[in-house]
Amino acid sequence: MSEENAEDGRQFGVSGSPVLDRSRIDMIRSLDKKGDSLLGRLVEVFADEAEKTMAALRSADEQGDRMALHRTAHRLHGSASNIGVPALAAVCAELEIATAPASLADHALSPLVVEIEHALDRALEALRSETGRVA
Amino acid sequence: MRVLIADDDLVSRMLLSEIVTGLGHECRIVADGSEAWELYQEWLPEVVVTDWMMPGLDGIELARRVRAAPTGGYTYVLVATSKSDRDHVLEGMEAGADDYLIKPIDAFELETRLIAALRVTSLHAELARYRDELTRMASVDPLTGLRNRQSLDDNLATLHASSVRHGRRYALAMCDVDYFKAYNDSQGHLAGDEVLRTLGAAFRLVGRQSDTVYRYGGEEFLLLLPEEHLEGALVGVERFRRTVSDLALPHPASPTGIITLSIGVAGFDPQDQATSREVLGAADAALYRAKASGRNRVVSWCPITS
Repeated sequence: MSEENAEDGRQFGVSGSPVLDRSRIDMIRSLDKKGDSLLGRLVEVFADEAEKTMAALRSADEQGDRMALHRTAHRLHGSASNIGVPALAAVCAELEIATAPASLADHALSPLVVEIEHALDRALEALRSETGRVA
Repeated sequence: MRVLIADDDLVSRMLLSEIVTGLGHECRIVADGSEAWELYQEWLPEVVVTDWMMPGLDGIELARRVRAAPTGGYTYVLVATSKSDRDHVLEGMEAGADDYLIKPIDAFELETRLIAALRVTSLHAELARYRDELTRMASVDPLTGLRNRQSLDDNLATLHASSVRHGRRYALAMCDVDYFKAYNDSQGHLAGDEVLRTLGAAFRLVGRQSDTVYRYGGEEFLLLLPEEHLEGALVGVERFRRTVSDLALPHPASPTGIITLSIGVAGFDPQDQATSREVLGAADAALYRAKASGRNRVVSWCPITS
């Protein structure tokens, strides 16, 4: 789902947004205190929450509950932006828009949910390699 | 500063709390608007940072409530929205927000907002202190420390209105220092001021919690006795008269040789339908009779019956 940029090794998601927002990660790192990795703690919390969110998305998709899809996508969108994984945030935004009350889109939503799942895997992988590097 | 943060995203909450406490502020974090509103009323923070979209109460409604809350101080409100929400930013500012933040919130952006927040809330707190001090000065007589005439006018109007509404009695007493002009002429005005100051301190000690003593004019004092009928008032007022004569402050120009008070008392009975001016006039008439019948005494007002 993503391609490697040969020049600088940065990765991009299908939306064209980078998997990792370097400046955001740097900002979070700048808040670290001695002996404590805030980024590490955030990634743990994010991974934990994202797992539950993914389950909620899948179940809402199975039941065709557009309202629940919209709410859940919005929440994951927020967390993803906060922790600095824009590619995941972008696909969440897509689902959020497609399920908005005013949206006329009636195409199948399941592919978007699958896309989110892939983007989440990539995001977690990237975040973990960041925190691994710090530790 | 005390900073209250309302955000439904756990990652964002952890991040914001880290930023705010890292800047040396006290920080409390809640996950929805209703919780934020409850904590706001109890904790009264200087700054509220609120997400716009939240379960329960949204950020705009929270901003509106914070702005309308009669807390006395000023709360600096920041609303966080996403980049595309220009309409929401305007709506938030109109609802009472002081500034906004674009999500995801950046540490530097938040730090700069909190600098402005500190300046604005400190200025408001300073103004509130001046205002309170001026309010106090406007109602207190600087010489005696008793409440002044302005304060009496306000409080008598309130007491009278509530007595009429609830069908309750009240009494008031007008006190005048006997031969005070002669005291000033013989001892000097500074000595006269000293006497008034001493009487003010004595009145504050002898008065009950519910009685209030006012400096009414030059050497005149007025006592308000809420929910007191005339007979009860006479007993209390007699205590005031005796307190002053027991002080035995020397008054060479008075036949008694000491400072004494003449007091006229009048009561308000809701059945009489009198105005507060009429009650004051009755006390004044009683005071006149106290003076005319020899001073250093308490006289109550009696209706002239034909």
